[in-house]
Amino acid sequence: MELTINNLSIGYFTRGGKRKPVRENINLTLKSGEVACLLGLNGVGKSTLLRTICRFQKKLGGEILLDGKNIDDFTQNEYAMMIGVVLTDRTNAGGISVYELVSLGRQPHTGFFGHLSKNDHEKVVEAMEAVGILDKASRYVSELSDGERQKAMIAKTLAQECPVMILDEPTAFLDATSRIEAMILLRKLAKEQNKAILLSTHDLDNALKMADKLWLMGDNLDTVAGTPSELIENNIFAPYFEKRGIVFDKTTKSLKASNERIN
Amino acid sequence: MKKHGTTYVFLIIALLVLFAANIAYGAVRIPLKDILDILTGNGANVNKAWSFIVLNTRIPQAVTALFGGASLAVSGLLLQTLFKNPLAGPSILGISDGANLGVAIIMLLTGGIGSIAGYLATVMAALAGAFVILIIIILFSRRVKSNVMLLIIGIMIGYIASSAISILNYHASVDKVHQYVMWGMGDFSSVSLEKLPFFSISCIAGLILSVLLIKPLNAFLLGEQYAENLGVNIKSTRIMILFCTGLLIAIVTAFCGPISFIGLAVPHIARLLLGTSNHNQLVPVTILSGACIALLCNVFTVVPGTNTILPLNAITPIIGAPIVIYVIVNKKNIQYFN
Repeated sequence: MELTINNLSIGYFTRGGKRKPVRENINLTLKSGEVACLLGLNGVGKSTLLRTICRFQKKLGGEILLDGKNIDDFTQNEYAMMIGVVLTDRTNAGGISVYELVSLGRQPHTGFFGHLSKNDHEKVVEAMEAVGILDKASRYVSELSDGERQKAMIAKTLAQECPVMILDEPTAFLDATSRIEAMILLRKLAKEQNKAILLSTHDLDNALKMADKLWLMGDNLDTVAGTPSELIENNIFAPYFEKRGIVFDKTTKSLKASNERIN
Repeated sequence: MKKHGTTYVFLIIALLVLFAANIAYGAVRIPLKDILDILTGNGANVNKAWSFIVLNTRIPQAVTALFGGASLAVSGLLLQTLFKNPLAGPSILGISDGANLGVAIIMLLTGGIGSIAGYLATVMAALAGAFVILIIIILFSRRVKSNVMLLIIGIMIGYIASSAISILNYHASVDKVHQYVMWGMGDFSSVSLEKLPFFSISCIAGLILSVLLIKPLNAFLLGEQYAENLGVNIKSTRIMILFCTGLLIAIVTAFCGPISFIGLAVPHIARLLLGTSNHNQLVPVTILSGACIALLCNVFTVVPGTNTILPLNAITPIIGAPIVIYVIVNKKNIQYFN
């Protein structure tokens, strides 16, 4: 599976139908087996890009292709089997069990009443096993920690059996350990289940260490992609994050306050 | 389903017992033996008035309570899920206010409802009022993306309807205002035997529709974007939910007046009974519990040992309010909405 973005413009339509672009001329690709981290400062349009790929909002121009097929040509249910999402949205799922939550991922595959077949049940168990949350299957979602809840949502996406997974800041509310755990899990899923995984994050440290690819977005900068090392070595990475008084240190691969400001 | 078997058995038994209680017990004391005779068709020797009371008053009233309660309860549940709000209920979208306004216009501006024609006019006015508001809400729902904003619009429209009612009340004569206030107290006894089929079939249609919505309702637990990603057509589902609740609320309010609390409280009772917010169980159990609670409230409208009748809306909060308070105080239960 290959997700291809050609000359894409993202943004909003105003009341009068005028285009209000957030970012234009985006050209990117994502392949099966890859984990890509979408990085950029707040407000550069990361969520807008993810929402556009998920078809939650209309694109302003250009095209998004899945294996060469325009995403607008999929029916909603077909698309539900292509791209699975994990969002930051508040849910109301506290009162159902983890098993039931993961089962919701089967919805695109089930019939009108959502009845789960034996095969569906097996997929649900497999998904929970893959993220390591099988022992919590009968727990209420409200009883889970943030990290476990995120795993459950990832399991939901696995049960959905989509070749592409899109996660909007999946590590935002997690502690340091759970963040790394989540990234390891996503890498494992990409390699073992051949998923194409795209996530947005502000966690530069883990993204640089664990992503196969980075997608960088910035104001007045082209949206670019590359491996972490090539982006850093060619000095492409730094401008997306540096500001007056904040510099990117290539040796430690981290942002820091520049010396002049501290002294 | 296996796990919840006892809940279903309990509710069905409760439903049968309460239904029987509604027929056996009322303002007029009728011996049980005579009631059985009337019901089995051996009522030739029984007091004609008693026979009339059982067949033309108590049975229609019990059936009305059953369907009315089920309908209000399930519409409350649908609205709570749609708006992700544990305090949503039939009164919140302004739909019942629309019905009130329709009735207020008929009662307060025209001659009132003394005649059969007047009664029919009231029902039609309530239906019209409720559906006008429903259509306004659905039109807004196509424009407004956020459900919270839609909820606020619904509440605002309700306020506007209430204002109109206040103005009508202010300028109406005392006896008309009294008549309107009486209507506003809710009453399961106002569906006559002739109207019963129409009332029941409308309710059953709405209830069936609610059962058909179970799958998308479960997806809605995750929020609209997750639901959309699971293949749910958000716009059409939202309209279906609004139509279903609107139909049920309009029908029940038109015939029985604005009945408070059942729609708000019963979904919480159902969640407490089941310990889940999975709609596969929650929808049927809410329907059953709604019917039970309405029958229970209806029994309590007759003060024991007297032939005094209390208004229905005086009874429903006595049973409903403690439950809502319990839900708010008890943390474990409020987490159904986390």
